[in-house]
Amino acid sequence: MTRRARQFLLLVGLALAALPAAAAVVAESEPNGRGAPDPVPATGLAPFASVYPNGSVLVSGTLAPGDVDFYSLQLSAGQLLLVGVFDAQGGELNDARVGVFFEAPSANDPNDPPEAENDDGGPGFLSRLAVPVAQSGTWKIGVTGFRDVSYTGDHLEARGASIPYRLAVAVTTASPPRSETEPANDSAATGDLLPPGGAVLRGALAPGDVDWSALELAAGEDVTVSLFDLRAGVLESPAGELTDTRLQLQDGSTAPVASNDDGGPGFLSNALHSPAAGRHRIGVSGHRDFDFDGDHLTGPVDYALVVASEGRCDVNGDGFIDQSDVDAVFAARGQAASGPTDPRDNDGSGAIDVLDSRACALQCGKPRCQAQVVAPTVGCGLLGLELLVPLWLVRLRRQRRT
Amino acid sequence: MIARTLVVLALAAGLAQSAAAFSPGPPRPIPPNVTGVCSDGQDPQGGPGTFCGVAANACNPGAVCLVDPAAETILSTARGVLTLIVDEDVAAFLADTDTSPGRLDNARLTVLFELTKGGTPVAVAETFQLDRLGDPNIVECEIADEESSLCVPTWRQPITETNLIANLGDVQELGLQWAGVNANLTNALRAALLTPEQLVANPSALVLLEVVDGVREGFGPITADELARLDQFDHSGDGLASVRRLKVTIQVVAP
Repeated sequence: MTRRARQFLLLVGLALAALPAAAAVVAESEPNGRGAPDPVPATGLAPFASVYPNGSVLVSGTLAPGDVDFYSLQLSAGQLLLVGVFDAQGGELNDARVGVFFEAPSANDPNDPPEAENDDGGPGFLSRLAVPVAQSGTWKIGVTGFRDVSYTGDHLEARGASIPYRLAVAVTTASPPRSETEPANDSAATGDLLPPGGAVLRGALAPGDVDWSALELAAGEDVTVSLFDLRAGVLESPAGELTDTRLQLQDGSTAPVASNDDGGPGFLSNALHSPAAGRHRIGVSGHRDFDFDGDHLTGPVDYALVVASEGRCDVNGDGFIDQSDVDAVFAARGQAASGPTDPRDNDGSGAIDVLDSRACALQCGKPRCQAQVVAPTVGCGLLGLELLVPLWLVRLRRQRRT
Repeated sequence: MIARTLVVLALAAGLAQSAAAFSPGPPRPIPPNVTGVCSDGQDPQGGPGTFCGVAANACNPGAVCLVDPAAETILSTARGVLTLIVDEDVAAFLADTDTSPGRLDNARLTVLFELTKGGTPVAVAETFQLDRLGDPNIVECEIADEESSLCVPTWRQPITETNLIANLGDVQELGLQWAGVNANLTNALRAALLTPEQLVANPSALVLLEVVDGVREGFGPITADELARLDQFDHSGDGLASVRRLKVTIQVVAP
């Protein structure tokens, strides 16, 4: 191989390595251990339900050897926190542990156990759990390897390579803002349309019932779908002990692109999918209903369907939301959206307005909407001595005049 | 020479531990011609130049001896669940308990591996009728007349239902790392985890039980916290089989 060819390959390699991670509303920022969690939203702690009125957010992180990732959020008593970890292999090779803690952001005592935790509640060896929020204040979510019972990074995960993961975080309440519309949602064509970025949809499943919802997704926009059953009259999840569900994700041509039966916990279902662009339909049914025509015996049961995707706002398509994206949304206010996946139309209303730019500002990946990689100050390569030449010429001219 | 002395001393110290409620024997060695490396990146207790898993050369507390990816060609990795089912009371279909004279010899051990490979679930299982003598070339199974015939090769005591289940205060635990399974299971796992091309090129690839979780770690009597994390179901008193589930990492390594 010639030297020039090696240089070219090196440049290509560097360019590929510099590609930003896929967009997500919150991207972790190492080191984010127990005493220094990443706030959700990244722009600073604020009540979760006010920042994410649709109820869900997708966090992107990477677990490295010896690594533990913590995220903090502001919750209110009476809410139900819903958490799920996903990876690209369906948990075949990665074994996660998720703990939920009620403590100050700076608290860092490995002897303090979590309020709740889960090992294998999600797909494969990944984790998923629902936690009733008993106290208002700052809560933290810790993601680590399953052997790490003290959340200090003492695990064997990521031995071969770091593990990119998606953490779906959602909250629902006794008075949910979004519920299914029976019987209209019995048909895939007339299912409940969810806003860009996803939402928590509350519903009820009974024998013979199929519930459909829909979501407009941009190409490659990762989406996670998680189903949690709910106890009657109490905001708790029995974690699929008795309720056996089935999920299906259909693309724009109504072809199934992802489905799941017992992804967990228990007999509940979940899925992660990276789609082609278009309106995708999400079907919820009982586990016997392979054709999603209502042929099942599951229910009656109340449920919370958590849909979390990357959403909009990444106007320049660099995989990260920062001030440049917010400025672009603001500059386009008053215009009609170019389509259902226009990144400037955060709420999917069809029109770009100041509310979109405000919402996008809350979704910045870093505090104060900083860029993902802050470019170092680059000098022009000169030392400043060169300024002496014109100054000397000016002085010389003045001397001649005098 | 010094290192060898240390290894011998360590081995002697291990054997000199106080008698345990269940004693499967000293730590199982890593298979011959497989190089181990400690998960913490440190030298094993034998010191620099020694390899973990050889002659009871252990890693530091909290670390695990793993297949060294720099020294071995790992063809495939899988994580799964190993379920051990021990039944000392293999009754006839309609009977509640086995009252036959051959009750102890009817005992059975079932080994079930469940994993997912490329999105496809895989389950392989085998049921064993084990002998009453163990392997006299290693350590004769210390079996009493009243115990069932569950002598596991290389173990000093039979895997009875009582021995399968860990109890508060037990000092030793199941020693399953690097355990071999019989040819049927090995062949099935190898076929499930390798591509057809890999299988043709490596027909005798090693199937290694590299990490076994769900057994307690460390030394000293087992604590209540450790016990609570174990996935086990004791039915030694009711005629049903006792069950224990363990998470495992399997490496398929080129010979």
